[in-house]
Amino acid sequence: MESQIKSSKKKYNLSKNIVNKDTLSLIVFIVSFLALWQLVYMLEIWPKVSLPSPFAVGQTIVDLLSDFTLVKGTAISLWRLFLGFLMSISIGLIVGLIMVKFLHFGKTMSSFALGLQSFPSIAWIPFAILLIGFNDYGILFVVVMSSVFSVMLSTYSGIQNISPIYIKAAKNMGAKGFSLFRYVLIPAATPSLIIGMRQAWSFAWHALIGAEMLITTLVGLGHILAVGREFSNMSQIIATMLVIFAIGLVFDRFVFSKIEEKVRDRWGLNQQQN
Amino acid sequence: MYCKNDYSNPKVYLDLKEVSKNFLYTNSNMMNVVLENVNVQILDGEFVTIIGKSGCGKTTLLNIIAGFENSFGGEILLDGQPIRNISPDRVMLFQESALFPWLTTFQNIDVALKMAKIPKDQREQIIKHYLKIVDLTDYSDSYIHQLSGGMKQRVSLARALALNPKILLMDEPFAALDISIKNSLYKELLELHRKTRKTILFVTHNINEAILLGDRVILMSPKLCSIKKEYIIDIPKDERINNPNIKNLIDQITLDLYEDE
Repeated sequence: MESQIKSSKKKYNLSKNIVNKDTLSLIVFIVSFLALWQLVYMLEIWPKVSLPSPFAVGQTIVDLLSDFTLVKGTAISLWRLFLGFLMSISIGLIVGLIMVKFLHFGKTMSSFALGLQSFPSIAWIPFAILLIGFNDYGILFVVVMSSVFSVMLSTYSGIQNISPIYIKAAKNMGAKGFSLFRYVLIPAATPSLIIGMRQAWSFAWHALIGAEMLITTLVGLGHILAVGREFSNMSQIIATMLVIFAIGLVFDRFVFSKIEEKVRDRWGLNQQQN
Repeated sequence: MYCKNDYSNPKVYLDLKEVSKNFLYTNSNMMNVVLENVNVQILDGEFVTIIGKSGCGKTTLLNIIAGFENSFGGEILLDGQPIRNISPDRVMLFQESALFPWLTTFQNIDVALKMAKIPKDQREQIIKHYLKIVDLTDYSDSYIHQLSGGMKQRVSLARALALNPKILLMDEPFAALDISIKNSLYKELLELHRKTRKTILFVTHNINEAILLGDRVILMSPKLCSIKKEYIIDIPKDERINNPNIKNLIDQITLDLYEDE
């Protein structure tokens, strides 16, 4: 009993150590970055008007938060992102499944989708403005076009690459049509699907900010950036950039990474070497 | 031919008549004859092992019986009815366990029963029963990657039996396992056979295994693309290890196996 308590205490201390090391290196990194920035500012490598100090940016962040510009902008941008992402997933999944069902269509479509997947999201904007409009729907169009192909392709390849033995065994046990789809195809393709969705989210976020910067009738984080440029307000620009960066990081690290980890754990794909 | 074993009744359960299979190469006009004129009758409850060199068609034969190969020559009757497509009546066990890695042990058997359309109120009981039989009740909530190779095959067995198939088809299920694990699995499999009286067709390239497990051993030849010889083993299974007659049989079969070379 005592030795059990001792060994669990040891475990706790060890993990505390690891956490401390990680957080420590993170803090050192951030502090060094800010110090370097301050140094560059003070040495006037760029004129002080062009590159504000970290403190000035910090102050701007506080200002923008207190007058709710940042809050509103973030909320609206995220709302568009969720909407666009949801649309991408729905369309991507459905088309991906059609691609699997009709293999000739699948093969042709996958080349098409591959090309469009790496198509620069900004390049959709003029098209979107003229076809859809200089509005929210235009922005959504750009977001969807930039991310749907990732979902489509990962659905298609995810299902195509399922180990045939699972399908053989399932058919043997009496599964066909919908039950095969539901009990085998989707669960077996899930790791691939999640990777595709993670990529789609990232592409959607990129596309969104770009679209918001150029389709400027409405508020959003991209809009705040554009306004910052209009008024040569570098502080505002950097402040908004930091927020955009933070949001991207938070979602990737605390949402998608976690989901991916969980699936990989279950499948036993995280075998670690001691 | 029939077995004098006490746990099979001499009713013909699986009947293969003039079974043949060719594979056509789509690029050329070449045709590969894998099976030709295979005739064999398996009795109800019989444990038949099939051995042969690579290319003799033993796996293809199993695939045809399971329904994974749709077109073949000849006729196959199971319990008097011609076999049609893939069915949980004829469950196959593979060399690499086809268990689903996204599910636990319990859920793996559960999903099999779901796919076979067993109603919900019966499922839990069936799963618990078969997990107990293969002695893996403690691992019912483990994910598949947490199990060893031998344990995975035991779960596969439990899953197969839970479906209550008419015949169990086993395609070298123990080939990838350690010899000590193999030995305990042989014991377990024979015990299961004794209890459930399932008809089993077991393909292997290991002569020892074929003789230890089978009521009857069928030797197939790639040259003939068919059955070369059959051996009925009258010795009770628990007396087969280190038995001199068995040793002679091993030698005999080895000779017959390599005779063509």
